[in-house]
Amino acid sequence: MIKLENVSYTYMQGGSFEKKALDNVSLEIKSGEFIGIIGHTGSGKSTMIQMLNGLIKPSLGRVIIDGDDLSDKKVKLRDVRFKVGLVMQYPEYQLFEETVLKDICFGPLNMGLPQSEAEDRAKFAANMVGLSESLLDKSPFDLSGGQKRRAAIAGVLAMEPKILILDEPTAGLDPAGRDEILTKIRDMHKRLNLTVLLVSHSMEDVARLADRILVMNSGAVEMFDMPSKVFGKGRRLEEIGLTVPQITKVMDRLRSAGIQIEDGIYTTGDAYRILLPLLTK
Amino acid sequence: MTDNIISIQDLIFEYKDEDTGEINRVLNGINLDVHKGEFLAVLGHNGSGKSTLAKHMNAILTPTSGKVFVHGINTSDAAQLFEIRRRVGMVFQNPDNQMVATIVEEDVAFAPENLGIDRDEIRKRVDSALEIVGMTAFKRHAPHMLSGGQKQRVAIAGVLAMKPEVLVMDEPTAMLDPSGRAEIMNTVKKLNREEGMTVVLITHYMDEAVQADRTVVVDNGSIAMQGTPKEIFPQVDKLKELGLDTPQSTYLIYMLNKHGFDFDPAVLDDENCARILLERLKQHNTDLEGVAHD
Repeated sequence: MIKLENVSYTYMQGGSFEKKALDNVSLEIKSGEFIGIIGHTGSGKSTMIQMLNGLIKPSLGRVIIDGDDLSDKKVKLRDVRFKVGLVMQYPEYQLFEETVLKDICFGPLNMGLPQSEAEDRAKFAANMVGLSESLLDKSPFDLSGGQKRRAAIAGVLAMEPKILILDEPTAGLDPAGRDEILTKIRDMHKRLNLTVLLVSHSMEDVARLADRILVMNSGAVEMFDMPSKVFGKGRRLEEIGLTVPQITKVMDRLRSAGIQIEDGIYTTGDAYRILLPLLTK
Repeated sequence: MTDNIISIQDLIFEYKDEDTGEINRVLNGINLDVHKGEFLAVLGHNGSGKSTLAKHMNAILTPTSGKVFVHGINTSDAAQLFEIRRRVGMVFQNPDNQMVATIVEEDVAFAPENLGIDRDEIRKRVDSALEIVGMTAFKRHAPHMLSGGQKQRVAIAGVLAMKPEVLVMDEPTAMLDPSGRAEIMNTVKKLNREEGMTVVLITHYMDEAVQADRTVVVDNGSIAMQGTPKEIFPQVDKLKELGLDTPQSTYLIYMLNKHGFDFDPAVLDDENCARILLERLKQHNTDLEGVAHD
């Protein structure tokens, strides 16, 4: 349902600071998938996600969402933006309304929905991200950092997008706050059958949640595969400024010392299950 | 005088909520010394008070009660503000908020210029600070063209140019990608080990805190745990209670020990974790072979 065909993008084309941010990218993401996107700063991942809801238009190539080519004049970008919800980095800086409820209603009201339906959606979205109803009448500025972040995500969710893109949703949060947001995102993905694209610098987070991981490097797709396959290529990931989860490094060290274990182990639970029989047999 | 560069005594910090009139107590009786030459990590979840604590180290905030001394100077003595800030340099989370000039070397020169230091000395300090953080090649670049990690290294150089005695960093890597984070941690370790700089690192990344000499965990405005990383991180359950987690290596060993093994729980990184597992696996196989041959 998301399709990129030979997409390239050049910033400041023709200028002296001309820079190719995306270089002939082709990929397909199926409806209902959970995709993790990793890549160092400047690898092209932000440019790519902004293309998916029409904030940036490709210099070359086509972006197709649900069969609609976004460069087609007949396709209304406004509709695309409701369908593809984008949660930017530090989205809590975009909260502005008097109450949390009003803030979450902003999107649905903008879509032209009546007040009552907007509020129903807002309440549902708030519940989905784990904000209790008692917080809805508060000023968004009285919430904690983690709550603000979740209110901002609810604001996007209330537009009932089919595709939810989150750019670094856990940046700056502590481990408990991070776990809470990631659990909520996983719940939404499952309960609402959302297609989720999660951009993260945290290999552990991506490893835990994604069906497939898209690795971007220098504006191109470096890998696009299951976590076990991607984290099985630790050396390449390090060459391109990324890393693998610490547990993968432990298992890689054991394997290179001659212990017979599979590669691409990326959770502590899997490592435990593999090691236990080896230590006790 | 002892070798404590910063000495915090019974520090309480409160502020009044303007809307409700309520008094909020953020720090609730902190006692902490920062020793000369050490690398101290301060951990704690969001809202634990760790950033407020950091801001007391160079008098951005001053205690409601209790005392903070920097090199023996009481931070509540407003007349000494200049001396305190010169001794304790701060680096914050967002690199973009810390750039003031349009050229890297001018940015680094900003603080020493404000200190009224003469031109030749500034030139020397700027060059040396950029050298230490590995940014000499970028000295004539515009800061906005740099990566996050590079910007943060320039911010560190800007602080170093003041020749401080302590470098306090409040979540300096929170906005960086893995290679940017590694750049900053390498710079911090180099500063501490090679230049003898005292470093206080506020963070909630466990893999950063394990690299420190000493770790303090702040919770609800008080110090909940302190010790070396090897003492702190094996306490998996307690850390979880405090909203923190443990490195994956430590957690793996913790789970295996829960199952009945007796591995040394003070394992913090992949290298040591793999080493002790390997020893045990080899021992186990030798035992098995021994049984087979008998």
